[in-house]
Amino acid sequence: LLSTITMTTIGALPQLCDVLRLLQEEQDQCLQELSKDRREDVSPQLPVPGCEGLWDNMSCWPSSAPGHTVEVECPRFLQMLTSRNGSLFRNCTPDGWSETFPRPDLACGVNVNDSSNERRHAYLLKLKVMYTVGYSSSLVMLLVALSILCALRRLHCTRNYIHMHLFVSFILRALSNFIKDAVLFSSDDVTYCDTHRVGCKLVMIFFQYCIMANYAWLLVEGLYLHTLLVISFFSERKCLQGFIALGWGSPAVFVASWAITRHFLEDIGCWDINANASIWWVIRGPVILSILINFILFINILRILMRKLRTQETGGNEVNQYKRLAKSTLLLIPLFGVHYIVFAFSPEDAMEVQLFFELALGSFQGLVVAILYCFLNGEVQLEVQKKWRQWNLQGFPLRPVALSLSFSNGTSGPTHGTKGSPSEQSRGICRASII
Amino acid sequence: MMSAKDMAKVMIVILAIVFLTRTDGKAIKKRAVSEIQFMHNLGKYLASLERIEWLRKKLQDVHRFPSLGAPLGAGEGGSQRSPPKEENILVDHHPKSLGEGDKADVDVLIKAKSQ
Repeated sequence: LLSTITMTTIGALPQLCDVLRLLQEEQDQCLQELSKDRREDVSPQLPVPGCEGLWDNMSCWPSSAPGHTVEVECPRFLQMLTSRNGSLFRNCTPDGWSETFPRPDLACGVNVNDSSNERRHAYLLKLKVMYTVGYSSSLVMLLVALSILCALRRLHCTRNYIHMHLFVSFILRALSNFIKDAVLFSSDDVTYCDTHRVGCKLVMIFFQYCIMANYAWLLVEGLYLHTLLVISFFSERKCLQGFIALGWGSPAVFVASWAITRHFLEDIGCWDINANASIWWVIRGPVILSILINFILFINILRILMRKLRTQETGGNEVNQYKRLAKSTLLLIPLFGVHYIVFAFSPEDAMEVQLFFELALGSFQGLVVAILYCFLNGEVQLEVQKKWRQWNLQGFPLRPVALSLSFSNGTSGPTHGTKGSPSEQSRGICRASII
Repeated sequence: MMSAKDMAKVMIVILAIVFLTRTDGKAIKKRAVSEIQFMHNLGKYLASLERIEWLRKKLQDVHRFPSLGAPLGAGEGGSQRSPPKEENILVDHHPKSLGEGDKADVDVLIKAKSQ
């Protein structure tokens, strides 16, 4: 027990629950000893003037004769908090016990007026407001973008499927943040000391999974574009299956192994505070690796584009295409999450800046991605305009064309012509630009 | 196309950055994911707040204890002449203080959590 206590003291300050548990143990032990003493003392019928053994809600005072000064060590629960040794005293007077001296907080080195963290806390709360705004706006825009991409069937192709998965992972990341905040930081439940709150831990696992899935899909975007540029012929369908396994499967593996190790090695609280670095590497390692790989892919893609732009001198059309690609490359930063590399290896001193950069600003990444890859996308705009026109031409404002396209089989009217080759056309649309 | 040589160059540069920033050992403590870092920081802060709040209450209780305890001790000293009665007091007194202590703990927990 002692070794586990010292271990937690080194890693992080213990939870209040552990302190309370230790205090309860000490109290039980003390009361047991006192009643044992009392039973032994009962036999001599002569009353002995003096001080009876006492549990003063903190330390155990053995019975003593008047005129003595009793010394006890600082209570173990205080030592647990301060990891400092000290002694407390009480005089046994003919009237009973004196007050404890010196004052317990001074004797055992407890600082109850520590308000140095106050400023940092205020900063964290401000940060929370900012990222809540960021994630909510991202969430709304992503939902709209996702429904547009889902509804416009002619936009369905590998690239957009990957975008859609990325959107979903962004949505999940935002949602899991809200759920986590609701569970952890706004609860007024008293069952805090119940260490086996399965629900809270499940929320935590879900949270970790959503974050990792988002990183995985950012990586998939990088891998896909890189494959597209480097390898001329590859099976898009097989590729997509592999990417889905990577994007949704690999986070599950890592998070599951994290949960298992956490359960057996560091089952503290709601798994929200991680003090054991080696366990945390299970999540941290893959995340850093994905950031690193994406950064390398990003640089490589840039190089390929630059080289192609330099060598291509003929044909205005193709040059235009590559110019478009070059322009799009700048838009790759939010899509790949290249900004994560800035602070991935920064020292701990830059933590406040990092938190501001990656949380307050980074929470808008989903919004930016939704705008750049859906609302500002020329193909999407074109498709939406087309649909809008069809909708108006048809004269049935209440019956969207998309519905008649998918459900009515070979009906007459303006939809018939477009229905003829939706897959070919969509493929044509998607091939027009790579990004 | 990027050659293997270029790739190796990029890798070396990145690894150099990694190890240069890692040598002071401070980076080990970081969580790499900002959401997790935020949760960790805020969670630790709330836990310490809870602990300090509880400790303050606890120390106040203990400090006040002798003023409660001294008359009790004197009373018990007076009643010690009749041993059977004293037995009763012992049984009565301690479970009561135990219950009070628990209640105080729970109160503090409720208070700290709602903040």
